[in-house]
Amino acid sequence: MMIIKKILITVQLIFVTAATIAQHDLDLMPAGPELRKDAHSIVREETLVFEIKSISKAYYKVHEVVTVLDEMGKDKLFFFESADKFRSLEDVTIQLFDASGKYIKKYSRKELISVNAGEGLVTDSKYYYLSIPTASYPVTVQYDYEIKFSGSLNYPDYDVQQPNQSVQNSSFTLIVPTELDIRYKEKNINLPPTITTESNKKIYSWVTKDMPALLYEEGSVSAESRYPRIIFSPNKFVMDGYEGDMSSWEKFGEWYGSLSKQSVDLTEERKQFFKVLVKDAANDKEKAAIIYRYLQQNFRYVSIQLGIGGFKPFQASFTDKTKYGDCKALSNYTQACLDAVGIKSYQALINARYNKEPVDPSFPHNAFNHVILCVPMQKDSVWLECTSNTNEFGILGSFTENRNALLITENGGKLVATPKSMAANNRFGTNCIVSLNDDGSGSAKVNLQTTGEYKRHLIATEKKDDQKKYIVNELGFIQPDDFLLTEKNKANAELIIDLDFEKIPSFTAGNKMFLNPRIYKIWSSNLPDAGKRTQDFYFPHPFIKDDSTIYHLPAGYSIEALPKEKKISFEYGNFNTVYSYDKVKNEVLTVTHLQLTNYHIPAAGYAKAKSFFDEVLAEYNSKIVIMKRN
Amino acid sequence: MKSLLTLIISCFCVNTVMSQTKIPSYHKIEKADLEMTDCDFDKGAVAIKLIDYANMYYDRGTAGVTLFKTMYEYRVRIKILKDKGLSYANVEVPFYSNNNDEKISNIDACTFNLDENGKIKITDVGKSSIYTKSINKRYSRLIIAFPEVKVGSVIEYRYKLEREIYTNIKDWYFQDEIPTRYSEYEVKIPRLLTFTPQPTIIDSVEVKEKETEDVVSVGGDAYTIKLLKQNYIMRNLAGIRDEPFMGAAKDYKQRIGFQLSQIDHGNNNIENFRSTWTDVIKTLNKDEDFGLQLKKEISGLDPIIKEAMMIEEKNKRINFLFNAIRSKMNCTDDEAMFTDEGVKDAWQKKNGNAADINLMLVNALNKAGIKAFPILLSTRENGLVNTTHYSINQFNVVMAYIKTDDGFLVLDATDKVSNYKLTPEHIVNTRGFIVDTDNGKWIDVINNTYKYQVMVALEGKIDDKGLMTGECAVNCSGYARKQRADRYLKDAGDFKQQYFIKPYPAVSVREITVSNAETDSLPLSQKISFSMPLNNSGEYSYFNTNLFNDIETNPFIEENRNADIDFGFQQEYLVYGNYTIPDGYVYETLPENISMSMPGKGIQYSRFMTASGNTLNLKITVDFKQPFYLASSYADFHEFYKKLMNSLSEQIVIKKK
Repeated sequence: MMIIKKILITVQLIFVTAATIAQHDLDLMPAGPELRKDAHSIVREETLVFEIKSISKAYYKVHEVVTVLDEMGKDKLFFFESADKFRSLEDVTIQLFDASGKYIKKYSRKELISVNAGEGLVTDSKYYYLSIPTASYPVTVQYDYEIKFSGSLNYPDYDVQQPNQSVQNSSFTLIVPTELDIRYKEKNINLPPTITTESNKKIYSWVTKDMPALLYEEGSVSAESRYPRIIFSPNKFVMDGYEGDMSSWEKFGEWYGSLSKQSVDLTEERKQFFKVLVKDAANDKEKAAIIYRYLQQNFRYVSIQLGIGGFKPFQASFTDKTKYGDCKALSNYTQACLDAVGIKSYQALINARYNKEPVDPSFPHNAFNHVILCVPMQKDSVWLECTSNTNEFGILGSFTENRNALLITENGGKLVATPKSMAANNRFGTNCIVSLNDDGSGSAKVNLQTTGEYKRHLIATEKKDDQKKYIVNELGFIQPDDFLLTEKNKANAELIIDLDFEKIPSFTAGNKMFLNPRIYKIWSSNLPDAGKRTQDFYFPHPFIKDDSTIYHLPAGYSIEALPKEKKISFEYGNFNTVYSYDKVKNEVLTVTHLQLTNYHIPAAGYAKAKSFFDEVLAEYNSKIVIMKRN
Repeated sequence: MKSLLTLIISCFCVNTVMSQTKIPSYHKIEKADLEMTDCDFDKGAVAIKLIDYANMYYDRGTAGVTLFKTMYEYRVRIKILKDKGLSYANVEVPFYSNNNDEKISNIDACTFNLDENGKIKITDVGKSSIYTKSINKRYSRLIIAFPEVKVGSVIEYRYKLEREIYTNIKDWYFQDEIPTRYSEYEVKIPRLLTFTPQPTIIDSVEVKEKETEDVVSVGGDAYTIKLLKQNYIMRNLAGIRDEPFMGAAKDYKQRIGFQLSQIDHGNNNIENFRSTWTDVIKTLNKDEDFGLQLKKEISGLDPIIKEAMMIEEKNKRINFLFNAIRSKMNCTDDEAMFTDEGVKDAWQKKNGNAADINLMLVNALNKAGIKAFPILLSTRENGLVNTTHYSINQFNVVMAYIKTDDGFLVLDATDKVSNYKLTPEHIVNTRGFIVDTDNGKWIDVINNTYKYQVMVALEGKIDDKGLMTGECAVNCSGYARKQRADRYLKDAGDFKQQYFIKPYPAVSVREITVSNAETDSLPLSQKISFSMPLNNSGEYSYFNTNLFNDIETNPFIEENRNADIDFGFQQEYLVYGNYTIPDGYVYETLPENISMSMPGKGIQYSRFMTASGNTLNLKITVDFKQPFYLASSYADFHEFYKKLMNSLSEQIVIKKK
């Protein structure tokens, strides 16, 4: 049954304030060298005012003057705002000034380009943008605009600073009715507000001055956790007529749960179908696994974000017919299927992406962008990613691991930790048997077994040239002249690759061949420079890679030199390679193990990680030397 | 007396009799198509279009909008073969919704599956799975999310598209990125209108042509309308894959277009549309956003033109004006043929699109006594042009053309880094159309003087601890200069990372100095100081000589190729190396000197090394003598590239005496 939407009557207000700003030149305070150091742009003057009028109405007024110093600061000349049912862009004036502050040009709202948001297949939000051209730098841009919120969970943050940007003067004022109030949280900055009260309003004010630029560091935590900012969260809110309470995780979960309450509505016939499907299963875990695999094979992910900010899932009965859905619909449907066979499960809101920080338990706010499913079991909970057709049952992957998820239970929301990423879940294992001829040509038989994040690639069914590109470009194999890839075992993604090579040695010198330790690069990424890193580094996931390679030497050849055994490690990883020569079989054996136990490297430990992986990269340059004896 | 055409307009209505096609009707499917697991003429395809069909006919126009409208009934049936092909079950059809110029209606869609008992199961797509979303002011998108889709499913949809236009018929692409088993375009055109078909077809096409008649009634009188019905059918067409250096994918898709050539208004009143380039030029020269811009007075430019006039030498004067305009102007859209702001406003605001800027340049050149014309071009990404297709829609950019004593110049003032003599990178070796004052002229915009040139000179000294310390000078000219200077000026830090640091993890770079990025007459100079430890096994130490030269990875791994290889320009790499090893060490057998060329000498490669005492001298040349290589030579090309990569990766081995 659908919840009947309350009709929200909004009064269209017309604002003229920003539009009447006069055209005049700017008189800017000079910015000293400390503000120019490492900066591509300087926030000269910023006055941000966020006024919450009522539970369903708020205005955000932006006045921002930014000097863009060079081409690399050009993203500050790009105006971008999104709008939807709950958020509208009221009026906009953008003015451009030259290096001396002399007025050049003005843009208004009608000059903005508007497009419908295009990420999903179907969404109902809009983007406004404008790229402001300039022929030279420095140049100063002034933005004046207002955003109207018609009820929202999400308030604007105070983004104090972006990378390579210094701040001369900036302030953020938040005005809120005392009975509503808000909560705030400082991130990466220590900046207490001054708080005053005026009749029935509370006024918070943050002021910053003369902040030097921060550097961009590759591979850091996701952008919203990286730089100084103040984030806000309402206590009470309303969205599309649905009133909610954000003052605790429990209450927020209660609100979310109320949206999908009636969505678990499978027909008796379908319930029966699932009961039959799991009838031979020994326990609940097996039952859940059978259902999960059935859904992986028969349902697909389609991004459709509609209505109430993309919060309300499709009914299970609808998903049952379409056999597709977004994360909400598929989680909701999986929940309905499990329910049909008597297994209790909870939908869980989460902030997904490998480098997201877990949400702060002490600060309830809506930082979520994804939904997964949690199935409580006697020992551990089983977590299900319902949008994936390839994930293993009960393994989330670094997309949602290491986070705090908000379980939507019958007693409201409950914040619980998702599992930690485990290296053992992401395995890449190879056994290579290489037959080498005395002209350097040869063949190889490679047995490849992958799990977790390495398993994603449905390479076995691809076109041969795509397989080849994958083998050479992604796996780092020497370019084969011909090959055949066969799937040995679909369940554990076991592949056999038979390859023919015109040339196997890395190079030759006279009667000697120099062979690579392996016929592919076990590691190929060159990590960013360590420099003076201040932020933690995130790998996509932890992993274990194992390889054994046997080179059958051509008749008449024997070993001239073997690389030294390599054994290195750092706090979160280890690598070792051992070489041996079997004189009787005339074979060289290389056994390699590379492991990263933790994907999240603290800034202080990064230099060690960098030098560890540099050494791993360099190890591929050591060669097995074989020589022809006459 | 009313002409026949206007009479017809008020009453025109074509009976849409079912055409006699052999394709199964909607909702009918052969079981074999559901059981099929691979495409037999394009193995491994992720999905295949079983049917791609459209039926175009004329209908009465909307009163007050147009005389006729054209109707298209589309039908598409796709079989999903692989997991990756599942995305073809999320169908998106963009259409021009501005003013209701295009309307979509009569949408039907269904999914075919085999159930557990092997029976055909049809699931109709409900209204709740069909959406129409506006993309922007002009375009909307029909979206169909097909239910019950998994690998093996077949999806089918059909819809009607109405266009409030009758002088234009939509192009038909027989080929797509996935293979197509059956493609048919049916057009029914009233005899009053004559269109010339313009096929771009290599494989066999079945063409059926038939005169038919339709009877329509106007106020009680019956009129017979003659129609020409044409069917174009192609079968078993492989998918067009994205391939490196392929130019425009659309050039490789077989297709047909139609050009209006005549309207018969009755009573021997025949209007000819057989336009020629002369007609096109006449129209362009009168166009406010094109030809008329060349005559505008741009007041602010006067002092610059005056200054230019004082420069005696023609080329210097050209270069002066080119620089004066491009250094001031900021480009908002580098693909444009018609002005947006107009040259006067654009100059005042210092920004405009490619047409604003380049027509301004033509305007200024002519005022300064240099005869210049606009030239219409199609960038490599936009695809080939057809000289007998009298339409400017095939072009996407306008630049300035000047005839010189020894040839010609094509100038693009939206490019801030190239020398004026360097034919712009994205259009070099394409065909351009000069919009002069009379008949216009086609020209092959060839530039054999400038290549993509990289010269590397590296000096490395190895000490007895096995550390090489070196200096390397990389000089880039022509198109290499253009590409690198562009990137350097955008982000110097990123430039250094991408060209000199990231690709060489074994090398530690101490310093990189880049000069001449803003002096377009000089090669871009990059000087690198570095050190690199030698690797060793047993008594052997060895080092790589393939450093800083930009040819370390092979983009041509694939065995098969459909598209020609279009680099755009010739390329030349020249590497000099000079290495010194410490006393007490000797060179092991050096890699053999080698010289090889592709059959036909399209690419030549040579490497010579000589060691004398402690010093090794190395010279490598790689010479791509053509900007363009035919797909038919790909087997050789592929083999050559592989051997080239193998040879370049060979290392120098040294050991203690």
